[in-house]
Amino acid sequence: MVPEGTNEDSPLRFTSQPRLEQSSFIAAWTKDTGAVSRLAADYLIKASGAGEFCRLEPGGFYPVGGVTVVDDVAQFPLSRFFCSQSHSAVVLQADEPQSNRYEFLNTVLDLAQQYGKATGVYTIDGIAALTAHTTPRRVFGVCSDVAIQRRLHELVPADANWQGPPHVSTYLLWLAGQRHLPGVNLWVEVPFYLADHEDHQSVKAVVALLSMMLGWELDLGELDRLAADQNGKLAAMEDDPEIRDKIHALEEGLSLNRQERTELKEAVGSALKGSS
Amino acid sequence: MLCGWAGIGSVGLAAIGTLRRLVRASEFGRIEPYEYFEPSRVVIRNGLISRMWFPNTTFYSHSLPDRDLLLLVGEQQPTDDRKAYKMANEVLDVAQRVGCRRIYTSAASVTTIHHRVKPRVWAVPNSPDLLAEVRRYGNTILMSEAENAAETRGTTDESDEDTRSFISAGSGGGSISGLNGILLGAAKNRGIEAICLMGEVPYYLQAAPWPYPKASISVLEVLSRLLRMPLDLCELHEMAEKVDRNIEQVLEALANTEELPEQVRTEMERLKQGRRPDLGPITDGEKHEIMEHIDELFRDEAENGS
Repeated sequence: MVPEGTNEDSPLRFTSQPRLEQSSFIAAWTKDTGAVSRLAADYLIKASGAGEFCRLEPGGFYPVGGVTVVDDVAQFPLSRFFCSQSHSAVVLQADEPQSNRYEFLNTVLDLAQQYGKATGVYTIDGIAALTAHTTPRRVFGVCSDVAIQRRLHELVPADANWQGPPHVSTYLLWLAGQRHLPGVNLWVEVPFYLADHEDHQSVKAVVALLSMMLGWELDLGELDRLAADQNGKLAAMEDDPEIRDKIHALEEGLSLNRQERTELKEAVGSALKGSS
Repeated sequence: MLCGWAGIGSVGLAAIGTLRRLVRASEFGRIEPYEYFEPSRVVIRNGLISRMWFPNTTFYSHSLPDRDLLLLVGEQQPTDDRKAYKMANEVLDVAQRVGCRRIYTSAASVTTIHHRVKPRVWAVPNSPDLLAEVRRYGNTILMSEAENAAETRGTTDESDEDTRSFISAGSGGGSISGLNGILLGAAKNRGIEAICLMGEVPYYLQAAPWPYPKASISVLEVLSRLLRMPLDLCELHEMAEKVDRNIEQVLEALANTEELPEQVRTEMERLKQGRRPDLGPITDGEKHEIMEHIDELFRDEAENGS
C-alpha cells in the first residue's frame, strides 16, 4: 500500500493508514543492554493496545546478503511501526540500522511527523553500569533542547555527560532537533552482569518514568511480577559467600577487578539459565 | 583545483591542508556531510546534546598572480562507492561553476620504498595529452616507469582490505581506489583535465597511526614547481623528522620481538640499516606477518599514547 503523499521509492510499507494528531513517537531497538529497549517497547505496545501498521524495507540499511541463525532460528532485520489511537502514540521497534543511518532515521522521522503529527520523540536504551541488582535503577535523560533539559532535570539525574561516537538514539534525537521536534533519550542503568540477560527491573524503571512523562496511566503489575521473579533467582545465588561479597561491594559503590566481574557474570549466567 | 582527502599516511590531507595554511586560503563553502558520513562525535553536557560533529569537506580559494586556486580539504572519504561517486560529482559541479580548468588530487602510493629514502610522486593523468607535461614535473614516476615488480596502491581506505587495488607496476596499468580515482574518472567524463599525484609511502608504514609527511612534502614540491609558487615546508620537514624517530623506535622494538621468524627478522634488520628491502625471497605470507607485527606495535604505541 502506498499512502497519499508517499513516494513509491520509499522504503515504508504500509498495511493501514492511521491518522493521529499530536502523537508521541517512541523508538526502541531490538538488541540492547539488558534487552531493556525491546522489552519496554513490547510492554508499551501491549499496554497501549497498539497495532502494527507499517514496516521499513531492510535493503540499504542492513546487510541482506543472507540470514544469521540464532538459537537454531533464522533471523532477519525487522523495522516495525505500531500505532495506538487511544494513547496517540507511534512506536518503532527495529533492529539498529547498520548503514545509511541518516536516511533510515530521516525516513522514521518523516513517518512520525507525516502520519503521527508527532510532537515529541522518545527513545529507550539500557546502559551497563557497575551497580548491583539490589539497588534502584537510575534513569538518565538526554535531550536536544534547553527548555526540555530544565523539565527533565526535575525527573532524572542531571549529570549525563558523554563525548564520543553517538548512539543511534542520540543521532535520532539530534536529527529530530534539527526539525525542531523535541525529544528525550532515556538511558537506564543495567547491572553489568545482567547486560546479556533480560533485566526486568530496569524495564520497569524506564517504563514507569516514560509513562509518567507521557501522562499515561499504565498497570505495571506484570513488570513488577517479572522483576520480583528475576530478583528471586538472583537472591538464590547469594548463598555463595564470595558472590555475596561481590554484590555487597557493588552496593557500597566499590569497584571489582576484571576477574571478579567475570566470576559474577558467570554466576548470574548460571542463576538465570533458561530464564532469558 | 587541488584536492586532499584523508587516507594512508594522511598524505593528501597534510599536503593540501599545509598548502591552505601557507597561502592563507579563504574558506568559501562546505559539502553537507549528512548523506556521506556518520557523525564522528557527540558532546553531551548535563543531559543536553551540545554539539554533533561530522567530518568536514571544505572548499577554500586563493588568488595567485597568474591563476586562481580552489582547494578542497576532506577529513574523510565516503566508504560507499555510490556515495563517493556522488561526492565526486558534487565537487566537480562546484569546480565547473567557478570555471576550474585543471584538477589535481593528492594521495599516497604504497610501495617498497625505504623510509629514509625521499619519496617519489606517482603521477596519473586522466588524458594521454597530459603525459608529456607530467614527465616534466621532476621526481615523478608514471606507472609504466616503475623500476621493480613492486606493488603499489592508489590509496584511500585503509580499513577495508577488499577495496585495496594493488597493481603490477611496470605495465603502465593499475587502479586508484577511493575518491582520488573516482574524481579523475568523473572529471574525464566531463572533459576536465585531472592529475592524481601520489607520494610514496613504505608498505610497512601503511597502517601506522601517524602521518607520513615526507610523502606530503614530495607532493607539495611538485605542486610548488608546476604552480611556480615557492613554499616554506619547514613545518612538514620538522614533523617528518619526528616521524622518522618514531619509525626507528618501532623497528628497534620489532627487532627485539622474540617470536619473529628468522627471514622476517633479516628483512627488518635490513630496514633498520637503511638498506632498500629486497622483496624477492620474502613470501606474501611473510610480508603479511611483518605487517601484522608492525600493526601490533603501532597499536601498542597508540594505546600508550606515545
